[in-house]
Amino acid sequence: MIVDAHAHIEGLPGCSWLDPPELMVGLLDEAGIERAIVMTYVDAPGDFGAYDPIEYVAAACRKFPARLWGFARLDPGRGAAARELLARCVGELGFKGLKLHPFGYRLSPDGPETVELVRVAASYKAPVLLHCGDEDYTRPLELLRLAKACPEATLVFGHMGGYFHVRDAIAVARECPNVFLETSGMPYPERIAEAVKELGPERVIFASDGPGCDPRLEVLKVERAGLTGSALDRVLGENILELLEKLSPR
Amino acid sequence: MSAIDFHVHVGASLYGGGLGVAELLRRMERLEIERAVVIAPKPPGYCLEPENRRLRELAEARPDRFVAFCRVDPWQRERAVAEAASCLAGAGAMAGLFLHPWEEGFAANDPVVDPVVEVARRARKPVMIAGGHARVSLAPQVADLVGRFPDVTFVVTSGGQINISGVALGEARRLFLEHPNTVLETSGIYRLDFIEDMAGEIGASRIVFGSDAPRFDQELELRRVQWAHRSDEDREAFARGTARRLLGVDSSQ
Repeated sequence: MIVDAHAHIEGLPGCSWLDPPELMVGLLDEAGIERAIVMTYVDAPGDFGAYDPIEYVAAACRKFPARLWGFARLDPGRGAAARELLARCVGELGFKGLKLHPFGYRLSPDGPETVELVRVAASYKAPVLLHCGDEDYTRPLELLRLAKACPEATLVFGHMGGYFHVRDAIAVARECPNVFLETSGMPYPERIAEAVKELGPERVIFASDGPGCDPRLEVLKVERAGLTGSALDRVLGENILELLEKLSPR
Repeated sequence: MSAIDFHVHVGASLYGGGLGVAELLRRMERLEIERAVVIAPKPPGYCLEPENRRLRELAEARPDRFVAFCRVDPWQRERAVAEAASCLAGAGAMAGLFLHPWEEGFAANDPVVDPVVEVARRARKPVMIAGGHARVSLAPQVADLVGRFPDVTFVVTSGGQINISGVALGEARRLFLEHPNTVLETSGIYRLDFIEDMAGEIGASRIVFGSDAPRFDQELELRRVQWAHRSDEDREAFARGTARRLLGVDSSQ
């Protein structure tokens, strides 16, 4: 079973990336992927007029219950409102985790607002997907401080360091057992092989970052890493499923 | 579908590894790549002239499979101009000029670049430039350069943006929209839908497949254009048609 651990949908009027869930589900079909974790591009809570990004994701998951799970993409800078929204998402709406994109909201990843929000996620055993690329606030050595501040939280480094910081991401994951690396967008199959060799196949998670990044191409990238058998199965689906099984909404 | 790979580095690299001719040919056979544009990596000895000679001889020996571009370091000033002039003229002239602002350490729009581009302009040869690198070849910097040479065709690698957050996509889009003398090369590009969307905006005839092997995986990069959600005609242009036009290679050759 292939599970895409990082994909997007978006319905914000005027957004340059307007991606309905039907588009993502069609690409999952094309790639032979059974399920995807979806989130918006915008952070909630926010000032979006009548548009509610959390409800958009919840509605998509209701429409495609066998295909989509939701992550709440939140802005920790909203303080208690973000923490309460996460509690509602996981406790009432069936969301499976938290997505953070520190480059978007421009906060240090180990600042008090973020640490508090991540600790809420950890209290539910909900995984936290972090954008981990080449930009300020998101590089692996910056996220390392969050991993150490919240050792009880499960952190998934989306893009596993981007174009230029994969080796740092592998080093951070080696140092922090609560860190997993996620493969989307990063263009080097051999870096996936290197991560599996260094960390073991149970610490690497497949994702596409679709629909912008093509899920079929992203699956091929993992296959080009030379993984086979149980290691390939783990990366393509079993690892993220194991993390989601730990979820305990109160 | 066959293809032309517009961007391959052949030889040993200062940064480790490298791709040999025999291995490249094996990969081309397997992937049905009919031709490759071959370019020197930054060699362990830092000296580009012998590498250009080696690749010029390779293209002369195997014109059915290889086309060679000349790589120069503009910081070598008069020496770079002389090398470009030598490579781009005469019998067996190389097919274009290659510039790598990141590896050679110059800003794409630094005046030091102009004399070597002027050589390509006089020779009526395209210039390929490694795009998207922070501080040296971000899309606005490349736009500044290409705007100074509107009669030179510039092939901008990686779609002019190497950024996994998508924040560089807007400036890259403007580069190609505002400068019709640019061609978008696809290696390692963030978001396949950027290629798909740009095909709708600038036309498939200004998009060319390049793998930037061995830095990027040649098969993955080829599938990037072959699996694009565009028409068969557009995918053919990405994979081969645009390259043929740029290189002056017709379908019978």
